Amino acid sequence: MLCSISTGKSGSKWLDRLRSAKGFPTGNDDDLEHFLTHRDPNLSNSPITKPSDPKSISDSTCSDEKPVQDRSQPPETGEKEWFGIMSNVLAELFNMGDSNQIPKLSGKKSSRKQTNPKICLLSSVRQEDEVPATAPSSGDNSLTEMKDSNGEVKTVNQGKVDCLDAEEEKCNQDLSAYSRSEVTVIDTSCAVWKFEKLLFRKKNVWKVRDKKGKSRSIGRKKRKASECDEQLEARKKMKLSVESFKERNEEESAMPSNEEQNPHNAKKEECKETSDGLSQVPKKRSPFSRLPRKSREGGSPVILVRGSKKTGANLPKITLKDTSRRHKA
Amino acid sequence: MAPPKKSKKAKRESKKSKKCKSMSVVPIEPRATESDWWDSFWQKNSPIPVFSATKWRDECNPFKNASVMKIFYTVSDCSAIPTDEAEGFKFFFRVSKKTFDYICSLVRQDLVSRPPSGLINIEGRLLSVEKQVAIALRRLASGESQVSVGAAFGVGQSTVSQVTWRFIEAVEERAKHHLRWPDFNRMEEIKSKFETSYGLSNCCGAIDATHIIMTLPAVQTSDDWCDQENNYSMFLQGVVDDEMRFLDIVTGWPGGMTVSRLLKCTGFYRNCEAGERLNGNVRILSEGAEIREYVVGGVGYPLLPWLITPCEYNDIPSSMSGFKTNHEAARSLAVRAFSQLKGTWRILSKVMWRPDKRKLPSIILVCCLLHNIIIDSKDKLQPDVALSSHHDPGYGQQCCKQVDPLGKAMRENIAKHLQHGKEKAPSN
Repeated sequence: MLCSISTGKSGSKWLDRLRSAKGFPTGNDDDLEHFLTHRDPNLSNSPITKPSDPKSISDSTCSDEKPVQDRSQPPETGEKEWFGIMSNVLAELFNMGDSNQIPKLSGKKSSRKQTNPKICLLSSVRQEDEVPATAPSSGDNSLTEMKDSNGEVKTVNQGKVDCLDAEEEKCNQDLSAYSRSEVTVIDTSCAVWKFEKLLFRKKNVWKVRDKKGKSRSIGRKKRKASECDEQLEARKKMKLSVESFKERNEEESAMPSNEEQNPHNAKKEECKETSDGLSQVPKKRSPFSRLPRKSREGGSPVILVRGSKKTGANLPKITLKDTSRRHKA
Repeated sequence: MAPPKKSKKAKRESKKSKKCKSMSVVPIEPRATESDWWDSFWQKNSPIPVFSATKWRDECNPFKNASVMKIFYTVSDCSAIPTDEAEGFKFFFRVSKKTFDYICSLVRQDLVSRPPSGLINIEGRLLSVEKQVAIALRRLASGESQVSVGAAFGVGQSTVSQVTWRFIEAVEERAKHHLRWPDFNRMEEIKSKFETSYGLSNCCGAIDATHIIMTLPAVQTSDDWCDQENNYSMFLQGVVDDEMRFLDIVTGWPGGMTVSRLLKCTGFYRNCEAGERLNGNVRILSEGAEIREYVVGGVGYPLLPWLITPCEYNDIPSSMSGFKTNHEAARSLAVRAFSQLKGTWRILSKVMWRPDKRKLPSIILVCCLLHNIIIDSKDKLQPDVALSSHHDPGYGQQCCKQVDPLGKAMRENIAKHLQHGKEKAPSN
């Protein structure tokens, strides 16, 4: 399966494979239209056009904001939510052009482009300086972000997000323009000789903050998810599943020429999505964005795992489940 | 040869008997007693690859060719190895045998190897505590690669790595009492020494900072760690007493800071500012002026009531010229202490190859602890061990412009007092 994607990406049958993998009828637009119309009354009157320009699709899918907001709502709100979300996804996928559902689909095509590649280079070199919420993408350097993810991004996946992130947020608000280092200090004048600090720097201005991350990074794994956490988890998974849907399209359509765009796009989306406090996501996510070929191993060919390793493992199932639920509806 | 697996019963027994009979029961290097590691090491690494070494090699070492290489490598590397065995011991491990034994006693319970998980050397024997300490000390002292240190002991690189880190953790925990701020009595001694030697009344020590230079993997490079000389480095700041013993150290802060910024990040600064340190007896001079407790530091530090820096202006009044000389002499204690530290534990003076920045502070601390242990044990080090040059070669002194008026007044009082004492002295 790994090879089928990468070798076939230059071919024109990606859409067929994509559809077949998800149980959609392939090759026939009318059937597809019928299929979708049948499933989703909202979309019944929207014309379905076969995407002719893959790039334009990926552009439009990534520049929209509304679906993103939709996705960030918890799944508990019901089947209807799901319905809307799936509609969005499908609309994004197949460019159905439903302006009610996806009002911003048509605009901002250029906004997803990386406007300043220099920043990207910079951040890939200076990983310690990155400030999570505002850090520019450095998808080219997975190592960089892997490391960051150790310290910070675990927040996203597991519990106690609220207080810690509130702290972090506060920090970032004050220190967004600052570079950032984690330091382990030994000071024999302190009661405990060894401790960790977060160091923020902007030119000659240095700020020292206590590092809360120690308990976070060490204790996190052990922590059991509370009810709230589960919700978050579910929300997160949902996002990812929706995205994986989307991303596979991106991957397929834009892979050959636009590889470097994808991480950036994903990151941008994430920033929007995680305005509810999950500001750490970008760093965690993007390292894997350039590993799609690897992650295909053993999974469904179309489901690209873009998220963290941990949640990534669950993705295929969930996505399938969601889709199947959708089918039953 | 893997160590023979012991039954639970046997293990229990060995544990039990170990309690009664210290170390000898643990099956450590069956063919080698505790002193044998040194004999082997010395034979391998002594300046004259004597007949006995060859003989030993032929008899005991299955890796004959490798051994020959090792001998030539290590010997050619260290042309200055003393021929005297005791001196040779100090050369390799920087401590006398007595101090070495003391260090072993400190860390013994942390380093004792027990089968089956204990560290073993190439011959499959468990490493004795002594040999582990020797390996770790050699690694810290020479700063040579783990491979070449391992080669000198007949162990692999990973063993050197493990042993050194275990040793560092153990010393970090168990030798803390060798680095602490002096109590009242000891401080009075220190002050009187400073007054006698340098004429500085109420001086409690000298402060300085040095850079521990390292390379970083590209993904970790950051301007924060990039210092004024464009090296990636970590700071080490220390306050030393009249014997160049560290009374206080801080390390871990990135070299991109200035020294004055570094100072402000330290607990020492906070304690002094809060009046919790250097708050002992105030000297009241005959003129009514007061001199509180203070330390002396270089121009990189701010002038504070408790931190006296040299006068930076060129046209120093005559009353100040004597002070400047004495101040510099006292301050040089800290400079020399760092030269000694970095020379003794060369791992600190060589450019560290991509160290773990979480572990590096521990390595630095342990070197400082060992430095103090050497002083506390009254070991006399070889004089040529210390770095011949400044501890921070290539680093120009940054000048801190911050001047606290109270500090300035203090400095003038000290200078006056010194001048007064000098004028008095010839008449006596």
